Amino acid sequence: MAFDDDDVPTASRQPAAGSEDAPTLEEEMEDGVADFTKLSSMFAKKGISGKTIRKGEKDFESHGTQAQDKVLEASRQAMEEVLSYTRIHRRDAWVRAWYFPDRFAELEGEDDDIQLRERVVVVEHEKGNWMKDIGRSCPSSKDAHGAGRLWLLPEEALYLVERGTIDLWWPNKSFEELLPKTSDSDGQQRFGPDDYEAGLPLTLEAAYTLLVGFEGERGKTTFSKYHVFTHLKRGGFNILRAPQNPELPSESRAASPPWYGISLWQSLFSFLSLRQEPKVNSQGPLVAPGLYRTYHSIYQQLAIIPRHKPSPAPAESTEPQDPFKIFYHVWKSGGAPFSKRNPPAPDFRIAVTDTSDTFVPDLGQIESLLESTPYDPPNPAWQGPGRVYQRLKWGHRNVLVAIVDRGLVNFMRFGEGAFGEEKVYERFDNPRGRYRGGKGGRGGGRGGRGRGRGKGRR
Amino acid sequence: MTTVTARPPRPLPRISKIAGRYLVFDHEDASVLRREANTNGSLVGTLPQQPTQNMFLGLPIELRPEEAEALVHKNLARVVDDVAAHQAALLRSPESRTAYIQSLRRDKAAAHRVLAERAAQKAAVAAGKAGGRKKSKPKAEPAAASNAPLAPSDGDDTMFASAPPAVSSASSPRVADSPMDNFGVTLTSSRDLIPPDVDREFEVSDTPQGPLARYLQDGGYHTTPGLRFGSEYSVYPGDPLRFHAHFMANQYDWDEEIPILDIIEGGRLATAVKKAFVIAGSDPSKGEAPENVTAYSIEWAGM
Amino acid sequence: MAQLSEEDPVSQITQTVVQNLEDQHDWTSVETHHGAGQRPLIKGLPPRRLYIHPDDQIAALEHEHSTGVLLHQEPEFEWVLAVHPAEKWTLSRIASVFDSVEHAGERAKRIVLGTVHNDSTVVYYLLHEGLVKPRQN
Repeated sequence: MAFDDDDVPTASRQPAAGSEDAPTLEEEMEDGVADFTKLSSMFAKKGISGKTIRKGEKDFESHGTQAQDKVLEASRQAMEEVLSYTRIHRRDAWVRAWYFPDRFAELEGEDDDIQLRERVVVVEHEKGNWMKDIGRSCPSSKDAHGAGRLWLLPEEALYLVERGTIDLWWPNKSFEELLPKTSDSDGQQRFGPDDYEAGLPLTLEAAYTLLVGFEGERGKTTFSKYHVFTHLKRGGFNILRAPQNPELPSESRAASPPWYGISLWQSLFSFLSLRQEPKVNSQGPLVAPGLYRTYHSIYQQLAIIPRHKPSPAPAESTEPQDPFKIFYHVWKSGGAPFSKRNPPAPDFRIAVTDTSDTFVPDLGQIESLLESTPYDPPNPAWQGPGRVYQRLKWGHRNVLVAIVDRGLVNFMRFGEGAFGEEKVYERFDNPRGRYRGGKGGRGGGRGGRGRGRGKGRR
Repeated sequence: MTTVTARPPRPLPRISKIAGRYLVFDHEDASVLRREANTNGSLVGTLPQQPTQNMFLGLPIELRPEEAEALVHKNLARVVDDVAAHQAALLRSPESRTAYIQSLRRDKAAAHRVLAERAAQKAAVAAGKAGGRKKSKPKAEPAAASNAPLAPSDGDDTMFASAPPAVSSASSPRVADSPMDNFGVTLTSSRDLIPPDVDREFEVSDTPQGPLARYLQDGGYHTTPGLRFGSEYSVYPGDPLRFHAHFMANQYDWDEEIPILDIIEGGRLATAVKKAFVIAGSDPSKGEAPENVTAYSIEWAGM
Repeated sequence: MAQLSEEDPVSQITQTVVQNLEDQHDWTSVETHHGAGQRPLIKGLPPRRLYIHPDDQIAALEHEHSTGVLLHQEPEFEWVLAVHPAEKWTLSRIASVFDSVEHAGERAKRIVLGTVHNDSTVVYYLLHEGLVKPRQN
């Protein structure tokens, strides 16, 4: 049979009405194949004269025409020119870093709050403004000689090499010879960019072989974790590895304004429902005969299937397991200056998975992943039936799972949903439409503060 | 119209195996694979010219294991155990690094010349004597046809199109330094660092996805990851830079069960984006892959 | 369909597709072929050409453009395989369907997959042998 009119698969073949330039579904989905002839115009300082850069008008197949060959050749040459770029470090902006993978190899986990054991690259010249969320200085307690030196995690070092910020060298001399105590050095360069007896500048390829490895290799990142890191760095986010000691649930946001008193209402409500439980008669009827003045009292008796109730302190949480375990903390850019020593609560918590070796998580995996994040209920200002979906979507805890497919990074957000907290029937007892709130009769004004408040609390 | 004259034979493109992944770091190798082996892979690196965006990415290129396997089978590329190759190269005596150090010096010299020329041009423009004929006219020939480590020739400023601003006299205070000493260089590929004889020590093992990948490679098709279309591969009739994909393709074992619903779903989605959904696999009774691969293309019948 | 309830499911969906082809899509000369040990296959003639290869589409358009005459495309007999969405098939079984068509005459370049939903909705998809580029309607 024919499809319904709105159901014809070929319908999307027509360009969107009125806008010739609107990308088709096909073009939108085929992104990732960027046309490098557009690169320079896209970033030209003069602006793009109002014309949006498309991914390029593409053809169905080869026509064997010279014109088509010419366009393809132009695209290829543009790409090849961009890719043939060589990273140059001018002397006045030269930042050399050295690969010393074993300096902290023996450090014990307990004593390693800044993950020094994983830090395998030390920065010789600390220049530039890239250090706000990258690297940690070595305390003198860990390394008397190298105290104060900036040490990088493998993903940080490789990213900085890749973006052309640092010149990474393989050492031919000892740490002490190459990097005298910071207090001793009077700013003089001991070894310059041409002093190959001191060490060897590494290629980007060499840096990959030294800094990317398999899961669990000390001093190396994995490809999927590296791709997530660089994707977010390129997007302007601040990103740090999550602390090794998981956040305690008690550390969860005490930020809820006290006048809403969620937990109080919640405990009161659960107390009430507990009292009513014995009324259920296993022989039926579900609703005891009698006179009812509210829908509420009827629906309460119908609620015999236990529903998930989010709690700030989950009863029994299991340890999350890799890869469904939070690996990165991420902060949006802007706002207050970022401090890598004392970062605020992260905007996003991210676990990293790869399509080549991970399947969709099961409920247990997602549950322990969510329970390793702080309790983060919907904004109390989101009141009323109009915001049911906003509350449900937000959930009571949330986490992002990054899915990496050959360098292509996608994010999926999982929230701890609480459908049992949204009692639709409560509306029926309010003929005037005054909604008493989703949380057991919690009152309160709706609107007003709205969305902005929610973001601020995160 | 440009006939390529005789040039020294190029070693086969080198695929670096690092932590189980297959990568291409050399931009010329990437060009050869794209132009001569219809293999484009995925760019996965940060572009140093524009490091704060995610639309245009740079080297390395990542290949799927089955793509690497298809290339090795057809002797179009070699796979190198890159970690071992680098360990060997970096732990060797410094004397054996001369080729690499020479290439570093060569690139530094090139960088110096380009920057000096740009500074001079800038100064000339500033002085109002700009001659239109000074514009760097010679376009770099395709990188694939070049054996120089830096594809752009002198005077071609595309290499530095978005590089830091040209050196002005004020920004280089260390006049005492020799010009070479003014630069550090990070090469992308280790072509001159690792010994050339490490090739072929390492072969890819046959991957389960191999037959279809080899069948498509043999047929001259380009492929990209099919994640966006919910399939294993997006299959292109030519370079994805120029052409739309024709197929969303999945491989199955010859006797693997395929739900009819999956076939309908694939056909429905593919038709909606002007493609056909392809299911393919090796028929073990018909000899070796990829010749024994049978493919079926599914599209909406329009009724 | 009710009168067929005693028959096996394959016959039922095959019969449903036959009726759908005749009644809704105006196919003619519809007949069901039963090969030994094979799934029944439906052969029939659609009122218009069901499939035109993209290259022939272009050629037809060019012909129309240059001569002003619409190129008449004679309808061709099609082979239809009736299936149910809950079924699972294999490449090897699909290959054997093409083989069985060959035994009945000329090997088909394609078969039409008629999928019958429980509510008797039928959707039709073309299944071409080999890599056949999509139509660009």
